[in-house]
Amino acid sequence: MDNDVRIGVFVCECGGKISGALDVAALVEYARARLGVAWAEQANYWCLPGGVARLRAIIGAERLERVVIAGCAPRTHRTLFLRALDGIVPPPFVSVTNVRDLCARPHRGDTLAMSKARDQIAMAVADLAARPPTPPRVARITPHAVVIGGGIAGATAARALADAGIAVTLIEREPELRAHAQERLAAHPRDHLRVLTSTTVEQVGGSVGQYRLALSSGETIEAGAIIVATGEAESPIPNPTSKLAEMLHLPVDANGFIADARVRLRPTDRIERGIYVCGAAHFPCDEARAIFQAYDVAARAARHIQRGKIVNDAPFATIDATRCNGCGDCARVCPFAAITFESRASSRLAVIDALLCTGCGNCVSVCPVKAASVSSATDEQIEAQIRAAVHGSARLPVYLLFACEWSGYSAAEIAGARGLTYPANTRILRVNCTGRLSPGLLLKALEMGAAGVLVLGCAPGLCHYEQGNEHAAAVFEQADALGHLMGLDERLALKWIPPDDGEQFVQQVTDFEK
Amino acid sequence: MIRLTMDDRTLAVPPGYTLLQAARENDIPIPTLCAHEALLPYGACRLCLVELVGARSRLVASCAYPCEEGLKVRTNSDAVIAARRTVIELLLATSAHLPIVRALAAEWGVRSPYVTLETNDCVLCGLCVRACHEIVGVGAISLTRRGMARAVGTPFQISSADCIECGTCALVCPTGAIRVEDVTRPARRAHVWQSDYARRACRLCEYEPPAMASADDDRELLGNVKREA
Repeated sequence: MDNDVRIGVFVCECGGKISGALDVAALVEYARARLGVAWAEQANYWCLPGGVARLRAIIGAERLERVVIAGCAPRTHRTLFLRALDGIVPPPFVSVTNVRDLCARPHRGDTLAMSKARDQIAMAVADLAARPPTPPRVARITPHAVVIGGGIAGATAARALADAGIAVTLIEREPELRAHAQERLAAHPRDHLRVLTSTTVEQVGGSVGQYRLALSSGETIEAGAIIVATGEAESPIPNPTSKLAEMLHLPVDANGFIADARVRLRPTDRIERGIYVCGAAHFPCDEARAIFQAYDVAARAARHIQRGKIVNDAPFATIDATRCNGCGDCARVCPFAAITFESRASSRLAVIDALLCTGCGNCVSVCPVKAASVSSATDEQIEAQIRAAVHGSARLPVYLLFACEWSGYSAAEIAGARGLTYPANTRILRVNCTGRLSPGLLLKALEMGAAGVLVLGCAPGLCHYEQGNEHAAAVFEQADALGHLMGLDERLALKWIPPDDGEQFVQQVTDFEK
Repeated sequence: MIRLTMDDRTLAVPPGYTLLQAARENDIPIPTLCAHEALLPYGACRLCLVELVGARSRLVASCAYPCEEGLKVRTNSDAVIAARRTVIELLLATSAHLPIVRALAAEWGVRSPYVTLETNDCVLCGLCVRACHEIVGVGAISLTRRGMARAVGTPFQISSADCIECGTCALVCPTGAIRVEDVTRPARRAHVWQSDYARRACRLCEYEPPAMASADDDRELLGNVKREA
């Protein structure tokens, strides 16, 4: 561990919920003496105002740079601590590890509970120590909206935006707008609202907040928000609508309508792209609905533009330019279309848009030359956690569970919260997506001495990152095949788990250990 | 610092503390169901009622009542315990089958309620809704309807378009009433705002719209949308 980094460990008693089952003082002493952290302390409730004040005071006095709060669920409490430590500790360096629901509750009375708790804290410290700094990315939002399509929906949206004081350009491919659309735009001062007829969008470039649209007229315009209101597409695909959708990375369904790209991530983990769809381009609709939708997307686009800038401090992936061979596998699997290519020498270099990237790690696992890495889950971090878990304080071999945030980990927390019990010789390593894992990591855990490695991910079709779980399955098969050669395959398994099924979590773990 | 008395103990707390927070920090036990450290106070369950002793003694929800200089608070007076028992009795009326309710009943000596109502896993504590709005920031669910029909649900009681299946609602639910189910059905279609794709729903908001096989059916339903100006 890098001794220059000052890490603080704060163990919570949680009003007796943790201290009633674990020796909190011993955990603090373990962190201080054996993990070599700069500071370790306990409190009744770190999350109450008194605890928070004390936390801030200690961090200031001891010049701590990174903190581990060993308390309860990150899903409920991490935001609280991020707000409390805003401006004091950067978000990537605030770690909340759930000693209550992963240790105190499910393993009450178990002799192995303390070793699991010690190792859980050790894993959090190891992860934090190995984490690289990741400053937030900021991008300006161009205060200009482009509406593509001059029908009812497009004209309504353009008018609404202009009314809100936002510069708009309406682009229509026909030589004239239809009568009802013209009516909508009639009584409006033209300086705010430009109408370009006989024009189409040929290319969309730039990045979030600063899109560059190359028009058929030869002009290039910049926009912070784009509204697609092109009306019902002519079938079959490909057609102008589907081509536009492809340029904007919008999904098109089987009937040619532009579908919603449903992003099942927390609002804090992703940013709004500023691209919206309304009217019959989206779904068959009558005039009233088209108008309603137009007002809705205009409001959203206006709000987006009025923010002025995008700030994203979620983790993101980067490409090592010295390793990238331009194969393009990463771009194929990226669920957020965040990867583009720059040409260089005789091939090309993958470039990841740090704003669009959500840090899922799918690109990391498919990259054949290890050029991609994610700031929140580097190989060093994962290996450090594996080491802390497998070479931890338990005197018996432990089972390492790679648990996906959205399924296995969630189920594990709920199993504890509901008071279910399972063997305490388990160590849970949380990943954003099982798609991040590689055969090397799975086998390394076994090589280091894990009794078994169980990967818990989302069921097929339900991955929050599109196909992360399918990559995980492919990775697992590779690891399994290699493991088979070494006679280790019985100690490796992959299971799908729903996010709330504590019972199934317990079942899978217990079955696996047999 | 604000000085107040709670159960004959003098407490000193910084401004902005609620009575419940002051009690928690000083290991004074007050039962709660709808209070959560990471959420704003809601005051739904009324289990946390304490008595403010004075010229006109009254019961207040300690989760929401701010500490004031010189308050005299009792967390276990006769009035408080009577109120607590009434709350538990009402909980037993709908949810006697829940372990958390049974535990409260056992602790406070409440037996059969004077009334039994339709069984409900949900005790309307609002933790799921508040977590979805305040912590997750998605706001996919809300408390809907009123009176006996009050329930946690989604807009229009259909599969939520905004739910990200993070499971935070299930995690904070004190009774286990929320399950997040995988309901991947390829033919399933949401209402007119969304296009056709496989969808998940939590059991609370499960709703099966009338089977619509294709976009043509929608057009028929909407009365032939294509218009030429």
